[in-house]
Amino acid sequence: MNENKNTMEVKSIKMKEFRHNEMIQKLLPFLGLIIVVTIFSVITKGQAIALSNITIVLVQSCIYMVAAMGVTFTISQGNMDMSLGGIIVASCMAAGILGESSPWVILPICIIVSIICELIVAVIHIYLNIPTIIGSFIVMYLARGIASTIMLNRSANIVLPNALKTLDHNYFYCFIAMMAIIVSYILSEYTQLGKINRAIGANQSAVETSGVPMNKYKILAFIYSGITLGIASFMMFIRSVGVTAKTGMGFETNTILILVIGGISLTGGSNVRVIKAVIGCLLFAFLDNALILVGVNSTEVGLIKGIIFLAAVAVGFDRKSMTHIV
Amino acid sequence: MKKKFLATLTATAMLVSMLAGCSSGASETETPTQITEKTEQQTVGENAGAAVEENTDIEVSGEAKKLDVGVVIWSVDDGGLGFSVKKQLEHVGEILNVNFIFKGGSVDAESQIKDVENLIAAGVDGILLCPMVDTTIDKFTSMCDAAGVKLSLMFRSVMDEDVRNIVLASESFVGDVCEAEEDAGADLVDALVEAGAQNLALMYCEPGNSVTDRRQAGINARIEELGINVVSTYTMPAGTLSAGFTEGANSILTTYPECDGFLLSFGSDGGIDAVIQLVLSKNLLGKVHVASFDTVQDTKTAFENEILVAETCGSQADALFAFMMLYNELQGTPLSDKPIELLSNYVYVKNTEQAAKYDEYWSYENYQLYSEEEIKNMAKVYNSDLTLEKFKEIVAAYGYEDVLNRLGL
Amino acid sequence: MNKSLEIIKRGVIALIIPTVLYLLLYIAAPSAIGWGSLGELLRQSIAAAILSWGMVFGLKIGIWNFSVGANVMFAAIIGGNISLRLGVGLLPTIIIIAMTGTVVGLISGSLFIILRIPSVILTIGMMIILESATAVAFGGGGVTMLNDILTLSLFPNDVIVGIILYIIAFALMYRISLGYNIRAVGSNIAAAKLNGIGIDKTRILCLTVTGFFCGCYAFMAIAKGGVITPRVNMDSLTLTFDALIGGFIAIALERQINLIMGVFIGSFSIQLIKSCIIAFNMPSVFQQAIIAIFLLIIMALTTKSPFMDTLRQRMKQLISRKQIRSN
Repeated sequence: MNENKNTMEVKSIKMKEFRHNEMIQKLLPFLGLIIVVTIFSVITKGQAIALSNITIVLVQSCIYMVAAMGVTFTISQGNMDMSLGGIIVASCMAAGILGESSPWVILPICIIVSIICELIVAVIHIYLNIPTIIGSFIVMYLARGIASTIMLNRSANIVLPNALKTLDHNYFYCFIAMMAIIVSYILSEYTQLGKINRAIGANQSAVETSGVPMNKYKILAFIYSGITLGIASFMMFIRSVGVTAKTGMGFETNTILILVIGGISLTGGSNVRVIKAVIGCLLFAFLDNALILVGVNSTEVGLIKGIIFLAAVAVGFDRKSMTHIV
Repeated sequence: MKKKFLATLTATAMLVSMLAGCSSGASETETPTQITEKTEQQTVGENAGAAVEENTDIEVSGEAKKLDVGVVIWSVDDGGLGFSVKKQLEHVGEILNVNFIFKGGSVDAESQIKDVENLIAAGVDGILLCPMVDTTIDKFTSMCDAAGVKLSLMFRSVMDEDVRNIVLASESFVGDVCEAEEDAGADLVDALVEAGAQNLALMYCEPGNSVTDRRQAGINARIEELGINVVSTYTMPAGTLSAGFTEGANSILTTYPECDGFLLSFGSDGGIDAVIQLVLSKNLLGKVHVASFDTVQDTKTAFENEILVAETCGSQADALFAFMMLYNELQGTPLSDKPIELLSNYVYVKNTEQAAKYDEYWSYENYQLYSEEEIKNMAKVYNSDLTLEKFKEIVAAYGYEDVLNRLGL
Repeated sequence: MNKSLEIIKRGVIALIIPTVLYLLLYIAAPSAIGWGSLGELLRQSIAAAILSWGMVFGLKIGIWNFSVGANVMFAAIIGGNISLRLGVGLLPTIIIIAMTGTVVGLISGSLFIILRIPSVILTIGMMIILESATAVAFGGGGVTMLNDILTLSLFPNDVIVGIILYIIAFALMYRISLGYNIRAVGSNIAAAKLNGIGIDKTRILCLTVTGFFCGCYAFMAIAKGGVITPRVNMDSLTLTFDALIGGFIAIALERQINLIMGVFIGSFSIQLIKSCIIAFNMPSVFQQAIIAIFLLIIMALTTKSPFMDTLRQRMKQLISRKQIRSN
């Protein structure tokens, strides 16, 4: 009787500890953002949190935010997508060339091309059993190679049509990002897509044996990622006023940094949340901006980013959810 | 867990504040965060004026403000042109009391737009920019117009006619300096043909960089004009290390043994050195020649071995001229009330003697391209006699002979 | 006899890819074919193989190392500048550069064990830090070594270095306990643990070995041009990806030939592809795309998947039906 009581007490303490740690895991990204903003506000004597500066940070984070919304769906399955930058340049280029006849096809072309590229990654992963990271590298290099070849043979730059230049406004970027966050949040928290994605990331074999059409949900996640990436490409095209072979360079690695800084596990599972991606984007953009306000040169910015990245991961990574670290 | 978290954050905060305190730049006095505290013009003062008078006969004609200038460039760590620009501007900053914030590494338009936004937010007085994409220049000028920040372009001119009209009408646009890239490309083709090369391999940069695009256009036009055989056009993928140049050149020589000339449209990051070393290692001295933009590390030896026939380099002065236009504007003593567009000269190195002198006097180790006096001569605030025409003469005069004459050699 | 035949059969299968590519090169550029050009292509493959040898240790144990390229730059710039300042000769220079890479690998391995985070995340963070460190160190000018080290790129020095490093890589993978442990952990980590293999120790050693080969590639890279400049903004990933491809090809060919030779065959195949691109006058910007397709084909053919199994079955059925009809 006493033994049962002790066992119950131990279990209760462990549950409290588990919930406590879970709470800390959930709050860490928020706390991280608040603390970093506070530190830099003090160092820059309030310049970092001036309204004009906050506006700049928000606008700068919008493109990554839209792309990250889709990436959280593939990441929650444990699929790391390294093809983002290549897909962006390919979709912007296709849209830019076809958009020379009519600017209104630019957005649909961006989305269609992005979806096609993401589906190729999905097919390579699902049907050829090749890890997504390799498949996405292949697609990235393929997309960049095609884009560079097309640019080589063009005499004129690919520029944004004048009709779309009016969209180059802060409100536009923020509005699109807001819509992407709302839709992604609903899909992730209130639909089967989000729940099953996280379940796949947590325990794929359990999902398989439970009879859920796993491949269907995997493909849906990649399609959604393609849609958001297409929209992000459109925003990139507008903001950059054109496309070159170097558009989107480093986008995928910045996105990984953003997700990790936001507290998302790259192995997927239940801790992948849209809100963490949002916080990661804001933190990333804020750091970039604040380090320049403080007067740090670009070479040192990289060093600081790398240290902060590793520190954030070291503190916030959910090691208990992994059976073994690889 | 909590303690670990707090300790890490504290350490990070300490690291950041440490770096903020010792941020690099020309001056260690102020950081941009203190710009808003500046309520009065900081003057050079009588003492400084006296110091100038002690050394030279230049009269101080006004009060020189301390300035903060952002520099947006492809790289400051490339060991070549970008690195030289940084060293040169840091030297100028010490003389003219200018704090530079360098933002390198952005190779696409969106990243550069971010850089400019962040520099404007940091409160810089002016921006010296090398835009990677011509068609975004009007966007930069409209951002600077809105912020009241002046903008000067280096290594670029505005080619697109529509963009040009918008940019020239902008209040923030001070001007641009660039080189005659197409002509320089054609000159390198001529140098190779003169050396006897008849089967050329072209090593190009990926499209999207308007400087190398123009060089390559000039090279292609001249090749077509002369009817020279091109065995291969090899485009280097972005981010290639020098070993990539070796690989590419080696593949070309293996596949086309008749190849007798390499022309590189860019050679920083050790590219030219790699190709020259390859020719040496394959014992093709006198059989395969190389001509390139940018600088070899050991130019003299490359000419002595008769591998290098011509090098188009020394364009770091472009950045200096673009900055001085901006500096005059920011000091309230503009050189012109309209935007200034200038062509700067390359330095051509074509033999061993020129190579030796280039290695010594353009390396920023013991010599500067312009002395303190000469730099102050380009600033109206120190030299009230300076006019736009005189400034243009200084720019037009720059070259190999000019630098050596001014150094008294 | 059967065993010898089996070995020959496996060797032939392993050499199919480079043979097909070599034939393609012959079609495109007959002047490129000859013992001299074959020798040149083999020599070109050595440097890329060195880095892939380091990579394959990590791939075998399941570690994704994105910092390989950045480690090369760090070893070259920091190690090279240290040896210049000390004014030492060629051999100490080689040792200093190799050891710099090894130390970075050791630090990566230690952090991997201490922080307990996935290798992808750790190595991306290391890549960013290493790249920035090279851009800041020694004034940011990189390293210029126009001295004896350049002789390493000359024949037969580069071949000698390649052979020595091949022997070291082979010994590490197949002749000492580290290699057995790496392969055991890579196959089945639970079983390896039960058998008393120290997983953490193996991982640290594995990353240290990768670092060593990064250091070796660094001095070979300096030997090729004499100049290494810093790369930031994750530009070093290009080098990492090239090394990854060599490693993947080796793993795909593992049933036919040992990993170390497999890497060399992979590197040689990539050199042939690059030469074919030049020979066929294809745009060289497409190079990475073609190599990516090549990698996809290799992996599709060698990875087990229901789709490929079905495809193979259908191909067999088709062949047997044709045989029946012809009979």
